[in-house]
Amino acid sequence: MEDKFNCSCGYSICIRKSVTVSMACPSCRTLYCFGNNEFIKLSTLKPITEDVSPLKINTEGVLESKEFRITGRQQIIYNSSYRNLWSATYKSGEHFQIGESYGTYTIIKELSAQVSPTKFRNLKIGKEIELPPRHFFYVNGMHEMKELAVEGDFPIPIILQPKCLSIELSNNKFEFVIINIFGDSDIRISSGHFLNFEDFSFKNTRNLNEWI
Amino acid sequence: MNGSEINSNDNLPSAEILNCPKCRVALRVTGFLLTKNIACRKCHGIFNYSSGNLRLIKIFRKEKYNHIPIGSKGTIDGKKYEVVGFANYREAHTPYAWDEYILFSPIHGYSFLSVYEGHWNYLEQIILRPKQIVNDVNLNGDTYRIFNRYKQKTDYALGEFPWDITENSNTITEYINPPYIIVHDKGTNEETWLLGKYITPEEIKEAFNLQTHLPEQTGIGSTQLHASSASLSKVKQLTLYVVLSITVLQIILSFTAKEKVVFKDQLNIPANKTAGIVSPPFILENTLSGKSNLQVELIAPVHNSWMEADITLVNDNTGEEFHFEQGVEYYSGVEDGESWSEGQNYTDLTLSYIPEGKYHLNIFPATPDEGVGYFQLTLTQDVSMLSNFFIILLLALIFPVALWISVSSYEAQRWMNSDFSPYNTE
Amino acid sequence: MFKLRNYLIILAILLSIYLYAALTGWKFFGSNSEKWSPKQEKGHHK
Repeated sequence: MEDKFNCSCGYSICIRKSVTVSMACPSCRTLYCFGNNEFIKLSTLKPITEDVSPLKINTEGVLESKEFRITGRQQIIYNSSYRNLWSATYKSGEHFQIGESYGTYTIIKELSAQVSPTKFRNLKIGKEIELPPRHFFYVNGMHEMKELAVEGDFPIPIILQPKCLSIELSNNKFEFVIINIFGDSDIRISSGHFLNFEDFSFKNTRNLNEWI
Repeated sequence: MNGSEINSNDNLPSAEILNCPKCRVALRVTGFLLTKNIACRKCHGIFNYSSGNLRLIKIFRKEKYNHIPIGSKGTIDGKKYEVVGFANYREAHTPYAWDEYILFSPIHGYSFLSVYEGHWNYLEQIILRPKQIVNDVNLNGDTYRIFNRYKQKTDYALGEFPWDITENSNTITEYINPPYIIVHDKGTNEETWLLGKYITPEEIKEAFNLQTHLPEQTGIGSTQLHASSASLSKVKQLTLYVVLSITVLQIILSFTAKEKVVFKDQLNIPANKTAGIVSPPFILENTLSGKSNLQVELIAPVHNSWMEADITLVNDNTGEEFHFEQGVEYYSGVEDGESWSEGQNYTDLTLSYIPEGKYHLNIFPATPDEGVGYFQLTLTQDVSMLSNFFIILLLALIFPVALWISVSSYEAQRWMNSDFSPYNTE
Repeated sequence: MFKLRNYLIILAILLSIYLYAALTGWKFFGSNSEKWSPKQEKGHHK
């Protein structure tokens, strides 16, 4: 079910009733988050930068015979790289994220595991660490977040923190983990696995005729 | 289910055109947010690119020729790419230089074509992290041996790059398992694993529809395959089977050989030198093919003397004759306190293809004046032929051994370019 | 260029020669007899 929300700039935004938790106004880039039965204005973000991604809002796909649709994107710009976190929802309402960076694709879900930030201090590229339950990973990227741009709507809250260290880990089982350390102590761990572009059976992508 | 209204651009953008801040030449940007550096073809300046702004980092002194023009589109391994950048690198503090082409696809991201001494590799980023095993790495069960470890220096760049091309602090390690290569690029904040494969200049030309000729190949490429190396493992296996089969066959043949003595006699040498000896008749038994071999042994009590015999084996049924000569000699003595000897009083030979039937021998023996009085002749039918076994074995091994030598010397040459050569025992 | 197929052919030929020799009593480099048969020369005497 859809509903309408009027942004302070006057733009009327379609939202998913009882689903949308965060959203960005496509006109003025104001980010809203749902709380106390209303959408609260959080911040005005920079517009999404062109990154030649083949995906867009409303791109659809199929994973494990389940159809999904992309409803939002967080474009995270680090000091020397970038990552798109596409927010996708299956028809059943189940939510997941598609990580996209330089032609590599991952499906990601946030873990509820509580881990002490001390575990991730003094990490170095190539270092092996163990994450519960008995999964071993290697650190292959550590990036300071520089900017965040958002488009679309999300069934999850978007975290806005001026300081975020993003640690990327992978192993030899196609598994993937991102540890985001917001500020000094707020840790969010997301895990998932790598897939090929073709594995998503995307449709309604941007026009890729020249590239297929 | 509807999402919010977004002004998404349905089409991928065309390249952005900027003017070089130094020489005003048009510069293309295809990667937008992904592009970090842009290098100008005219002034050879390299610029940092951020949010549409260009900041000069460095100017390259030498211009290098790129065989594949920037902007060329081509298909490799079924993936469509555009050539967006070209760089010439050198292994730091060495004269070893190579070229790299940066390929871009919105779907597959960045891939690379690297060329050294005319040998090309096509490299893609891999998501599966190889396992480190001491110095080497393992990917999908295949071991890649360490080949080179170095830091690189960028001597020239052209086009656009998704990283800072002038930043050369990363350590690069190459592992090979021809025709494949794994390249590990490790920096302070990031590491990248690339999997590459040898690609021929013809494939490059076809992929990018090039009419120009590509650099001449010299030496052996780090991932170049010996034309027959794929056959070597099969040949090794096949050779093992062949050796085993022939050995088993030889054992069977040795056990089933009749080895029947058909004639054995001690014969006196006639006083009349022109007189011959006619042997009693004997029978060569029937065999599967109707023919067999016949071993002739001659023993004579020679001492500082010799004896030879002109022998004709005569088939009494057909009149066929087989003529041969046999001789023995033996000399010994003492010279300067050292005893010496040469020759022996025994000899044998094997006649081939002797048909079955009734035979006799015509023998004309010859000795010196102080002659040997007698000799012994033994004829054995169907003896096992070990020499045949060794000859066939030798012939069967010529090809695998030659191939092995060829592949080994090829490998030794390949590893001459490596600091980690298994052929270097120093 | 070395071809596996060619090597297989060579092996097949070698194996055939080996078996043929074993059956007929052909010793490679072993026989040094001169064969004569009555058809070759009239009037030859035993």
